[in-house]
Order: sequence, then structure tokens, then C-alpha cells
Amino acid sequence: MKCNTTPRLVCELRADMPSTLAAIEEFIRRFRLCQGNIREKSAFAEELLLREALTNAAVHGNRGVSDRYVHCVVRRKPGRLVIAVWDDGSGFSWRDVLGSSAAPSVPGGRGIAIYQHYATSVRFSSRGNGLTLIRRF
Amino acid sequence: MTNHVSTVQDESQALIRPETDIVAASVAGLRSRLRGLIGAGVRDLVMDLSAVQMVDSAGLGLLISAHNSLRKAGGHLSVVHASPDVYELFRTMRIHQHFSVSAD
Repeated sequence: MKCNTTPRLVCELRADMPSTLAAIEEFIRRFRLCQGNIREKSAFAEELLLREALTNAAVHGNRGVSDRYVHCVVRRKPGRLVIAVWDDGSGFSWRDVLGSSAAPSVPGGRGIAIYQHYATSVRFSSRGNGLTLIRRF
Repeated sequence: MTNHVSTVQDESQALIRPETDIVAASVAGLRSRLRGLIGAGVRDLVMDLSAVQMVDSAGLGLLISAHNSLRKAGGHLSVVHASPDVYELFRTMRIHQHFSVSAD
């Protein structure tokens, strides 16, 4: 895992992490250091997007299998944040769930609705085991 | 990730104030505590989010499940003191249509 800074690339984080919630929390801690002094409202949205992408990859994509990893690249550039997450699982039929939203009484099924509300752009790989989120600010 | 302060006000009412974010890594501990309260007879549960900065979809799911369990027993969950960002998340996901949610 590393964090680089250049004049145009404000911050970059990379990680290949095991499919554990503890590993995700560690990455989130590093991400917060890269958020700097961005507006608070955007900070919440960015962290929520990253959390959802990583948790979905670990829990649903890799199904928590210990020898499957979650791979992540986060790049902050002036005016935008790019989050790319992919896993070692077999993917899913993301086209079937885009635009869907869980009823208020249903506990699960909100990850993609959160992507679509808080991100400017949501792109899945064709197989569904890769995701790129862009948030402009 | 499991710290929280709870106060049982009487046999059927309780207030719980999580001291950490309600996210995937913390929901197991909080779920256990909520099950304990409901199992002990609490029916009206107030969740004070004044110390919570982040709630993710796993956290939302936990709160919805808690409310569903309480409602089956004739009670309900109320969320109070949500931060502006958390409150917006609840409204965006229409959770406020299922149980009471109020902001600071």
C-alpha cells in the first residue's frame, strides 16, 4: 500500500487486501489521510462510496473466501475522486440490479443505490467483478 | 468497533448511544447488544446517533432489522440526533418512511 503525491495527482492509494472487514477498516484509515481538507459533505460521500465498494467486493464478490483478495486503487485529482475496486470472485449480473432500490422495510440491497446516488459515474466490468466509481466535486 | 453506551429506562424502554460508526465492521457487536435488549423485553428503543459520523448499508440493514423485530413485538425503533450527512442518507434511502429518524 502506498500514497503518492504529485502536483496534478493529489493522492493515490493502492492495496491488495484480504477479504476481511479489518483490512477494509485499515484501508479506510489510510484513505482519510488522503482526504485532506475537502468539504465535509463530500468527505462523507467519498468514504461511504469506498466502504460500499470494498465491503461488496469482500462479502459478496469474494464471499469472504480467505485466499481471494480485494484490489483497490483510489486516485484523487483536482476536482474528482476515482475509486476502482475489483475482486477475485466470479462477478454478478449487475445489469439486472442497476436502478433498483430496496423497500424501506428490507434490510439489504442498498449498495448499488448508494453508488448511484453519491457517485457521478458508476461503471462495472462486463463480468461484474470490477467497479469504477467517479465522484466530481 | 463495538463500544456503545445504553441505558435501560424501564422494562420496555431503552436508549442506546453507539460510540463508534455503524458500519460493516461494527454491526456484529451492536446487533448482539440490540438482541439482548429486545430479548430482555425492551419494546421502544431510542438510538442516539450523536457520536456516529458514518453509517453504511450494513448499518442501515441492522437498524431496519432491529425495527422489524421490535415492531413484531408491538414496539418501535427511533433514531435521534443523526448528523446532517447521516440524516440525508436515511432520507435518500427512504428509511424515514419505515421508522422515526430525526437530525440534530
